[in-house]
Amino acid sequence: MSAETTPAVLVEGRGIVKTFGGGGLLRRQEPTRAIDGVDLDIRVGEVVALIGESGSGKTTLGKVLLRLTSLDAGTVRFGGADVFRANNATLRKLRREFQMVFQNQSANLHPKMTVREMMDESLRLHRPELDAAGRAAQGSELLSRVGLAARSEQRPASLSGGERRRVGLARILATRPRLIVADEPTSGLDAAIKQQMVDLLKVLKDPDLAYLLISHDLGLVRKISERVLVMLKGRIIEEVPAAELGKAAFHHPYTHKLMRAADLLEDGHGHPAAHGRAGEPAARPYDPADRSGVTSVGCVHAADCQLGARLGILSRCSGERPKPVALGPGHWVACFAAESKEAVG
Amino acid sequence: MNRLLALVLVAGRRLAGGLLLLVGATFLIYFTIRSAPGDAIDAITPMGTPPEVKEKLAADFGLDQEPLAGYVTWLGRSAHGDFGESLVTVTGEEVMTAALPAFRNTLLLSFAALLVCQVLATLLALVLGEPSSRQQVLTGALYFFTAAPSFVAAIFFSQALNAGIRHFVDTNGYEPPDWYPIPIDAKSIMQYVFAGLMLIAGDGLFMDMFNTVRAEISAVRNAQFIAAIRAKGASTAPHTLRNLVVPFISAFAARLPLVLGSVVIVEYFFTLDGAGYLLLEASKQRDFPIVVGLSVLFTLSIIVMNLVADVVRAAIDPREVARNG
Amino acid sequence: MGKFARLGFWLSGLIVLAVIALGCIAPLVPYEPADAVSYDDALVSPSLAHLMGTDEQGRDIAIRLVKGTEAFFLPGLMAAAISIVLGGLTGALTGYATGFFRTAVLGALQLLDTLPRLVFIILVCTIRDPSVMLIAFVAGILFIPTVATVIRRKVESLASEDYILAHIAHGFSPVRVLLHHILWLQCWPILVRQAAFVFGYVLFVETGLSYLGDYGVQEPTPSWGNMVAQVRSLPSDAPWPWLIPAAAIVLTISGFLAFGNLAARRGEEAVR
Repeated sequence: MSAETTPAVLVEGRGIVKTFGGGGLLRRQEPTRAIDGVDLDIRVGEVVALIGESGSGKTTLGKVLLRLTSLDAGTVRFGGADVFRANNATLRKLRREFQMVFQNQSANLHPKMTVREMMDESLRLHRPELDAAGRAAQGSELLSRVGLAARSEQRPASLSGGERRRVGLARILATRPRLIVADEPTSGLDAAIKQQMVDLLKVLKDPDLAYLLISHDLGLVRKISERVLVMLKGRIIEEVPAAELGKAAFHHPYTHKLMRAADLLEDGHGHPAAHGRAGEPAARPYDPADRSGVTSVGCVHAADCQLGARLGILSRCSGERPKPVALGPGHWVACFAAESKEAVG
Repeated sequence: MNRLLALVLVAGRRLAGGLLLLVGATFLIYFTIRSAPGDAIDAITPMGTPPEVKEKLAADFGLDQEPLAGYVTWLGRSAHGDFGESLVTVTGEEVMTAALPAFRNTLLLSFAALLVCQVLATLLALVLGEPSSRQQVLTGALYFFTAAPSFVAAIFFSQALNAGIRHFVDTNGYEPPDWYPIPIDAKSIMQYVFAGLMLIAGDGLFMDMFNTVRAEISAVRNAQFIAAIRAKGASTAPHTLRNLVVPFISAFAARLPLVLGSVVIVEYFFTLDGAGYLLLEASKQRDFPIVVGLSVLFTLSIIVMNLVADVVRAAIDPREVARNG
Repeated sequence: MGKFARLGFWLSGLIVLAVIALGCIAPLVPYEPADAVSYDDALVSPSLAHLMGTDEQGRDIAIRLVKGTEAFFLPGLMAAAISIVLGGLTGALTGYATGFFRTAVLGALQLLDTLPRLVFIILVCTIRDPSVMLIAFVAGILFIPTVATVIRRKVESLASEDYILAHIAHGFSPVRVLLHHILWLQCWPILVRQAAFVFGYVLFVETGLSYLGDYGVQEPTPSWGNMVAQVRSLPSDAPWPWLIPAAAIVLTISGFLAFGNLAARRGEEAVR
């Protein structure tokens, strides 16, 4: 996307904080900061990927954007309207414009309804101007767009995992959304079906429709997204154009680890040795959901960071929250190492 | 040591919860009394109760006070075991003097019946093993017949027994009446045995227990850790048993309320000296101090049973402590 | 579902249908208990004139059996309706809500669940004018926790599968999700099972108390329970006056329980 035609911002999240737990009558528990001060923009019609391991808070962030869970601090605006301050009528209108594909393939499918009946139910809700015949026509058109025209009389039990997901997608398209948050759209599907799903997402994309893909699958993300946000323990630690993944001169040490695990590093592309070599034992058993030792003060990666250890800056890492450092167009990293000439090279 | 402390904590919390439930339940019972239509004291005493008795009763139960104050008065007296005096059933006697021995019989009968029921259900589950289509005729028939109310089962049983006695036993010219539910010496234990059998055979208790027990056994048998132990060549029996204790205790405790209901009708049928018989007799004669005292005892026993089951569970299964500690 | 279970489903369904049909036509059958007495016809064995014979007072047992459904039919329906409507709603709310509201409602449900049902029913009958409707009302209230607990578990599992969130995200109003998508589409097998169970419980209590006398239905109004009670004075060579209503009680209770369970199983299998 070239700089001079930057489209309008569709979703604008500022300072989002979401905590879980805490409370308890007799035992006080430290609340878990599932999202720890995240800013995020999604522009009209773009495809953004949010990657991170399970437990990093990416699904929660997706839900927060759509007001599917409460918020402890921060604001979310959708096309200018404050999502969390919206009254019921506005929210109903907003719900039409942002939709979510859930990780659980049959989450919104009724066991007792046929595919056609489900389409009818969605259209009745979101397209009240259509009459029965209009709904039937629109329903079968949407179903043929996702390649399910022949399955319209089936019930969910007789559909495959991929087909169920496509039904979910067709229902979502019935609302003519401007943003689809897709949570792990390909998880649990085998390779061939996965590819179909990816192709389908590409086909359904129109210039007004934005995607937020939530995934831990770097391969998928690189294929269809434009911008990649890397999430770790409740924070976004890096933003990078998808094309730059694995090619940029510097990645956040955590992103680097993810890419190495996914075998995405270009041949010969090595960060300065400071990143640590493959097979080197980790400082402690690594658990992405483990928030112990993570404070809102320092870098969330400090306890596991070998780069920081090599550069001898860990005391700074754990004592101060790193600010984004711009490394190129559309590429920033929240890491103190990025400020150091030695690491960036 | 730490474990013990955690256990004590769990027990303390449960005890507090149980006390809270008891206060709540007595509150419900008290306000059921207060909800009597018209002048409460007239509605709940037998016709022709002398006014001075009524007055004493009203004072005992705090009926002459505001509902909440009355409740506190009544609860205070009840907490000391003073539930007033019986009006008719055992005239003038302290409620608890009459109710406690009867209630002890009832509890013994219920526990024994429930225990035997669980043992029989376990044996049947072990014999039958995993559910299969061939067993369905048997289990289906058992379902059907054990769902009958216990009093109907008792009628069939006593009719068959009486017919048998008439047929096989020489009555020496004495012609017994056509109806008599088990003509046995009043001091005999046999009628308690019969009553226990009817508790097991009726009200759907047995198959309900059987289903739970079989599901629990099969869940443990098919658990992955059991497969792992088997793969190592070690004996699985101790592990299986250990993991069945908790669900078995839960299954037992969960069915006590049902049995404590059935026992009322069964005791009345066999005219046993128990709380159920006393309850119905007292209720018929509007001897309501006895009815209220027994209601509290029944409720208390259910709360205590759940409390004990919870604590035993916590003592055996460390996860319970972790979950609730 | 095996062949045997399917057979059981249809047979028990037949029983349920028959009881419902009897319950509906019973109020239309003119019957004056006092007029039916005819000591000349006492204890006539089943014949064409009296399909099920007559009792000690010469009353036709078939008619009393049909009229006897009045004693429990409407009360049973009422109790089932109270428990599944209130239990379903509180169950769905506690399954999804969090915080103080959930804790408070769960506490109240637990409280209601500790009361021994039959004992409490007898307590209420001691204090208020006993009637089967009152008994059924109390029974319906006392079964709310049972229904609420199974519904709550179901809703909790639906919530963990994002079922509820997915519907709200799609734009359905929370009330519609609760009533239509959760209670109606997902929980109906559970509700059918519970309704059949509560109906069976009311029949059990009504016939039990009518058998014992005093709190159920009083002679001469017919109830299956007080019909069975004639066993106490019947000669042993004329068992039909008690045998027929006793069989009807067993068939109906077992039939309702079996139907509830098997219909729910069919529903759950269709849902999977």
